[in-house]
Amino acid sequence: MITRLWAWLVGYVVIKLKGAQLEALVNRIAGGGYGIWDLERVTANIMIGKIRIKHFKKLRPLLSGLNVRVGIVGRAGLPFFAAKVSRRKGLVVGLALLAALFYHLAGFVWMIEIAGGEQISAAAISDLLAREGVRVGAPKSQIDLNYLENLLLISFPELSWVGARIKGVLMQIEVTERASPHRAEVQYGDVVAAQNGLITQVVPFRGTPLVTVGSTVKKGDILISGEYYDQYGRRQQGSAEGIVRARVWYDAFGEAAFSKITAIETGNYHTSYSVAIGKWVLRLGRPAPFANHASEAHTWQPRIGGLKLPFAVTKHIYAEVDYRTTSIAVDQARALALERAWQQLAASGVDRDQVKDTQVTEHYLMDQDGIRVGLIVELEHDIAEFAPRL
Amino acid sequence: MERGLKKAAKKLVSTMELPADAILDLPRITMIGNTELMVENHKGIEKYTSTEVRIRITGGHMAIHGRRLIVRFIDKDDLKLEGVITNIDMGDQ
Repeated sequence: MITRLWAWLVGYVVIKLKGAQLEALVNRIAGGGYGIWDLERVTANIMIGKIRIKHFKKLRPLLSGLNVRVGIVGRAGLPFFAAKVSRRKGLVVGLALLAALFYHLAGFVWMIEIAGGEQISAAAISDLLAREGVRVGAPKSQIDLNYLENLLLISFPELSWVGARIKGVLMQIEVTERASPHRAEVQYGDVVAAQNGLITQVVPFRGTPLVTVGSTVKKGDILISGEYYDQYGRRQQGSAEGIVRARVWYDAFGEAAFSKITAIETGNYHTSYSVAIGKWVLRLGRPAPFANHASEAHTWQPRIGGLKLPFAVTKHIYAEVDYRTTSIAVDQARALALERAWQQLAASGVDRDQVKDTQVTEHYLMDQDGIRVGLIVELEHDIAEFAPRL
Repeated sequence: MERGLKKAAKKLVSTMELPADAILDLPRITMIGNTELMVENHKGIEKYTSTEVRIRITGGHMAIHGRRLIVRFIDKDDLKLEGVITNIDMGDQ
């Protein structure tokens, strides 16, 4: 194999030997120390074989006295390949650039795969990674896998194990969540208060109730204990269960100004473009020539299959605007502030339809020319929560 | 005299267990299955067709019969034959 490889490197020719005394010529060639290989008898007076270029040039003296003609029927090897390639420099340069481009692109992460999470969504993990700069198109050299594993474990306490690795251009994140004991499997536990409240109803299914209607409880207080005394008076441990309803209060606030600034378009527009490659952005065209403007951006990013390529073209449309200040009536501002307070409560899980009582306070903001509305709502719901004793 | 020297050399080779191919200029023939035959220390090709290859060796010749015989490589000392080998005859001068 090495001999063949060497022959290719130095170059060889395929020769045709035609005549009557072919064996004699072959013996002269071999006897001269010139190796010939793949020698094949084609017809009674023709043989085909391969010989190095250097040795072929020395064949002429060996032909004397023999009725044999030698001709070249083929050429192979690096010298011929190099000569062919030298006539197509553009192809060579293009191939070299392509190889360099592939090498460069292989230094980035192009796919991120997240597996193993049930309670924690892949999107949540992906968002956290993106905040740390780990996203499609990120350079592999800037990714610290140990740091990411620790960060995920710290950021998501529900996780018990995280594995991160990079295979080629694919980044794989595998997570394992903690298995919390199933309620039915837990032998011992109490019912505790999930939040502060005033007890309105206690319905114990199992266990010993420690609170009565009218008690005030804080978050974490035991409402129904898992301990009980059996018929013989012995203290036993069990799993408490029951419903404990209480009046709970939530508060929030909202603010609104007595004036608002509105942007009115003047009808003047300006368009420019930008090209983003990875983190680098190249702006094309002049910046918007307006003092005040509203802008809109439309981005086009090519994809191959489901994979987004790491470059994008964005069209920016700027519309000149004029800002005008308009006054808002106090009643309108109050209503707007109150609505914002309701929205804050809704975001923390309060169902407006379940509210039994509300208390609204107002406070005028003299320095900011607005109003702040405080909202306290009262609801009644089950605050019982099972706390296992492990 | 020459025959006497050859006889003495043969005796020396067998007594001292020396390599006969190197001392007595004999060919070394290596065969792999019936598809490959390597002859080291040959003296040239006498006849080559796709069914018969006759090679000159010290003390005579050897004729290889078969089908689709190709000289895979030949140089001053070594010759490698490939094909379907059916028969090998050794003949002296």
